[in-house]
Amino acid sequence: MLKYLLKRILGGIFVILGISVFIFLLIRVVPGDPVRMALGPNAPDYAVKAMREQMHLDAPLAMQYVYWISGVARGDFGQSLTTKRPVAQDVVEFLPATLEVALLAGVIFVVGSIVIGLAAARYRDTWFDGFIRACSYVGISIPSFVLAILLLLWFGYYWKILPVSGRISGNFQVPAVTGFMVLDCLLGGSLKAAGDAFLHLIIPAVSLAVGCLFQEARLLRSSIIDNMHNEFYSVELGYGLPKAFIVRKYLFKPSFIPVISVMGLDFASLMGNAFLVETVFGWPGISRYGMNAMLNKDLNAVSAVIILYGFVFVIVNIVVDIIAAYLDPRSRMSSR
Amino acid sequence: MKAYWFKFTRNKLSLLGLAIVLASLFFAVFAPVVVPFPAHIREFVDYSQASRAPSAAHWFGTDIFGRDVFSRVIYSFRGALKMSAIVLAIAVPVGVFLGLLAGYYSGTWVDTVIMRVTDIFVSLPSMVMALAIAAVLEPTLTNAMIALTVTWWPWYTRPVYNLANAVKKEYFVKSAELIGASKAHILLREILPSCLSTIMTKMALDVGWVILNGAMLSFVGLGEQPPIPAFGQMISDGAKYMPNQWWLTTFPALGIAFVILGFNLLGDGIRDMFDRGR
Amino acid sequence: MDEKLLEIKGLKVWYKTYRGDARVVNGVDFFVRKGEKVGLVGESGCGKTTTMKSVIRTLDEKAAEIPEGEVLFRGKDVLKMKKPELQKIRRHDIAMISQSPMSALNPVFTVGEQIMDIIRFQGDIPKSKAYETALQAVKSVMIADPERILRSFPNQLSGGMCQRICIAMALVTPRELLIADEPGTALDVTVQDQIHSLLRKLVSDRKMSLIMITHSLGVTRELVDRIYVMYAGNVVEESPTAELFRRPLHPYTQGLMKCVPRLSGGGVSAGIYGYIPDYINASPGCRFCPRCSRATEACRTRRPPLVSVGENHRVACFLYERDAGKEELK
Repeated sequence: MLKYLLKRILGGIFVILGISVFIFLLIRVVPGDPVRMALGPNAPDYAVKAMREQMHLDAPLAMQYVYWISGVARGDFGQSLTTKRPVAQDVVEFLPATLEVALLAGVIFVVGSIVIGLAAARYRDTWFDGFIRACSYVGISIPSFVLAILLLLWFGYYWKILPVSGRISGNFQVPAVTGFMVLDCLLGGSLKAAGDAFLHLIIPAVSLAVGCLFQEARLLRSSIIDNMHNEFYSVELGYGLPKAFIVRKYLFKPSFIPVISVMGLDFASLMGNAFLVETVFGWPGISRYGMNAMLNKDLNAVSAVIILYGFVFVIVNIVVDIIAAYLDPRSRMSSR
Repeated sequence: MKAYWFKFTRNKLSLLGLAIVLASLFFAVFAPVVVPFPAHIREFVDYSQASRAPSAAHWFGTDIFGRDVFSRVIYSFRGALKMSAIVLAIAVPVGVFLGLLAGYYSGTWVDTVIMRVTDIFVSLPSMVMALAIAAVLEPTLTNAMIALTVTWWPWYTRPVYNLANAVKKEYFVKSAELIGASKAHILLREILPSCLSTIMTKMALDVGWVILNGAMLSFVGLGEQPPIPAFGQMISDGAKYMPNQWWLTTFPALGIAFVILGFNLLGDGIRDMFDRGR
Repeated sequence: MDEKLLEIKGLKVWYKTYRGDARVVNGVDFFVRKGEKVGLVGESGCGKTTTMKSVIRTLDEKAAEIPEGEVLFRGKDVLKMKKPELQKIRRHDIAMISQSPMSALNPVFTVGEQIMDIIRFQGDIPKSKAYETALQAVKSVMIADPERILRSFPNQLSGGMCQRICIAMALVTPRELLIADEPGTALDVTVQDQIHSLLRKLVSDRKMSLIMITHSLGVTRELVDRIYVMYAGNVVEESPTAELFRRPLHPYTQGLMKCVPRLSGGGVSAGIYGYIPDYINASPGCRFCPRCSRATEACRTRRPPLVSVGENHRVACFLYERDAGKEELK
C-alpha cells in the first residue's frame, strides 16, 4: 500500500513539474516586454536595465527556468502586476474563499449523489427515476453561471431569503484567522455571524454542485443496476437477505468505485470553473483572481494560479485513487 | 447499419435530441438569411427601440442598443457550432492518432513520451488551460478555438490508448502483422474500427461540452467579440440589467441550454445504440 | 418418505426479449420427495437453472415472466407467496448453490462477512455467535485454516475453495432442500470429484433432499436416486437412476449416454448432431425433432406428452406411445 502511495506521489510531482514547464514556456511566448509592463512605458533606462538583471531576462532560457522554479519552491512567485503585492500573499488571501465554496459544493454533490443514486436504483423505472433522469439533463444543459444568475434572481431578489453578494453581510466584523469565513466566525465566537456566512455560501456552492450531482447520481444508479446482473446478487437474494440491505451494503461498494473517479474529476473542474460563479457573486476567490490575472496578462499571478491548480488536481487524484483502492480489494492485490 | 438505426429510434429522447441538433444546425447555417433583423448582428443602434420587453415585433425583446434579441440569439448558434466543429475536427484526429500510436507501440519510448505529455494536459482542468491560452493570446474567436483545441485532444488519446492496447493482442491484428501489412494499414484499418463506437459517442457528447466551455470563455470576454453575439457574452452583458430586463439573459440562457441538451440527448442515444444491451 | 417436499406443475418461464418471448421453460413437471436425491440433466441453455431459480424466485422480474405453473413447497405455492413467507423459505428451508462459485461471491467483501450476514438474518444472532457458526460451517467442508479463509476475499481463493465456501454457505443452517447447480463444472475433474463426495456425505449426514443440476449423466449415476432429462424447456424422460442407465428410451437420452466417456473402450462419441433450438419461434412439435434420427411426421406437428413406460419411468416421445397403451399422463 505504501509503495503504491509513493509511486503515485512521484508521478504527481512529475506532472506538476511538467505543468510548470508548460506555463513557463507559455509565459515566454507572450508578446511584449514584461519589464516595460511592470514599470510602465516612461521608466528610465537604468531602472529597466536593473530590472532585467533582477529578472534574469538575459540568461539562457533553461537558466531562467531554474531561477524561476527555485523561487516557486520557496513560495516566491514574484509580484502581482495588478495588486502590486507578492503573489504569495494574494494566494493566501484568496484561496480559502474558493476552497470554502468548493468544499461545500463537494459535500453537496457527494452526499446528494449517493442518496439520490441509491433511491433511483431502488425505484428504478418509476416516475422518480424518470424525474431524476430529467434533472440530470437539465443539470448538464444549464451552465453553472446561468444557474447562479437564476438562483440569485429567485432567492435573492424575488423571495429575498438568501444574500446576493459577498461572503458575509457588512455589519459583521470577523477576525481573519484561517480565511474560511464560517470557521473564522465560529472561532471569533459568533454563531450568528457563522450562520450568516454560511447563507452566503449556499447559492454559489449549489450552482457549482448541481450539474455534477445529478450526473453522478445517475452514474451510481447505472452502476448499481449493472451490478444487479451479477450472480452474487441473485445468490444474496436467494439466501433471504432483504433487498434494501443488499443494495445499501453489497451493491453500493462495488458500484461506487467508478463514481468516485468521476467525483474527483468533477471536484477539480469545479475549482477551475469557479471563476464564473465568483464573477456573478463578486466572490473574492482565487479562481476569479486567476481569471483577472490572465486577462491583464499578470504573468506572475497566472503562473502561480496554474501551478496551484495542478497541485490541487494531483492531490485530488491521489486521494480518489486511495479511496478506490480501499474500496476494491482487487486493485490492492493486483501486485501479487 | 439498419439495426443501429432501429435501436436508435426506439428511444424517444434520442429522437428529440436529433431533432434539436438538426434545428441548431439549421439555425447555425442559415442564420444570416433566416433571422428577422440581420442588421442587428453588426454595429447597430436604435435607441427608440431600446430595452423593450418581448413583443410581437421582437419575440425576445430588445437590448439597450435597440437590437433584436431573437436575431442575436439565433445568430449565436452559428459561432457555437462553428467552434465545436473546428475544435473537434482538429482535436479528435490528433488525439485519436496519438492514442493509436501510443497504444500500438506501448512499452516503448513512443508510448512513454505521448502518454506523459497527455497526463500533463489531462491533469489540469481544461478550463484553466483554455483560459490561460486564450488570455495569453488576443481575445478573439479564433484564439478561443485554438485554446480549446489544445486542451481537448488528450481526452481522446487516453481512451483510444487503452482500447488500442487491448485490441492489438487480438488475433485479427496479429494475422495482419504476419502477412506484412503496413503499419498504417494496421492502425487505421484493423485497430481503429474497434475504437470507433467509443470515439463517436464521445464526440457527440463533446459538442455540447465544447459549446459550454466556449460559452464560459465568452462570458469573460474571450471568444467572439462584440458586436457579433455569442451566448456567454450575451448572458454576461445582460446580467448587469437583472432582474428588470430579464429577457436579456433568459433567452440566451435558454438558447444555450437548448443546444447543449440536444447534443447530450443525441450523445446518449448514440451510446445506447452501440451498447450491446442485455 | 413418500411425501412430496417440492412439486413443480406445468411451469412455464418466458424471457422477454425485443425480438419476442423466449419460451425457455415450456411446461415442466417435477417433484422431489423428502430425503430424496434427484438429478436434473440437460445441455446448457435448456432451462434447468431457470426452472430451479423460479423455485426461490430469484429470476430477474423485469426480464422473466412466469405465465403459468405452480411451484408447491410443502403444498403451498411459492409463486403466489407474499414476501415474508418467501423470505422464510429462503432463509430456513431451501438453499441453492450457484453454477460458478467465483462469481457467486461478492468480490469486494470477505468471505467471512458474507457467510456471517446470511447467518445474521436467520434471526437475532449476535456477531460472536455468527462467527463461531461460520467457522464451524467452513470446517465442515474440509477447509484447513478456516480463520484465514474467513478473512480472505474471493479472488484470493481457488475455484475449488470457493465452491466449498458456497456449499458451506448453503449448509450453515439446517435446511430441508439443497439445489446444487452444476457443482464443480467450473473446476477440473479431480476437484470436481472431491466436491461431489463432499456433497454426498453432507447431504446424507443431514438427511436433506438434493436436486442436482448437471449436464453430465455420468455425474448423476454416482449421486442421485432419480433422474429427469430435460431438453429445450421440456422434461423428455424421467426415471430411477439404475433403470435409466439400463433402458434409456428417448433419442436424446440415448445420445447423451453415448457421450459419456467410458473406460471400457469405445473412445469419444461423435456428439449429437444439430443446433440448440430457437426459443422465440419455437415449433409446435417436439423440440428435439430436427436433431432426431428417428423423427416421424407427427413429431413435427404435435408435442409428445409424457407417457409411462415402466415403474416410475416416463418418456415424452411418440415412439413409445403405442407401447404405453393409451395412458396419457398429464
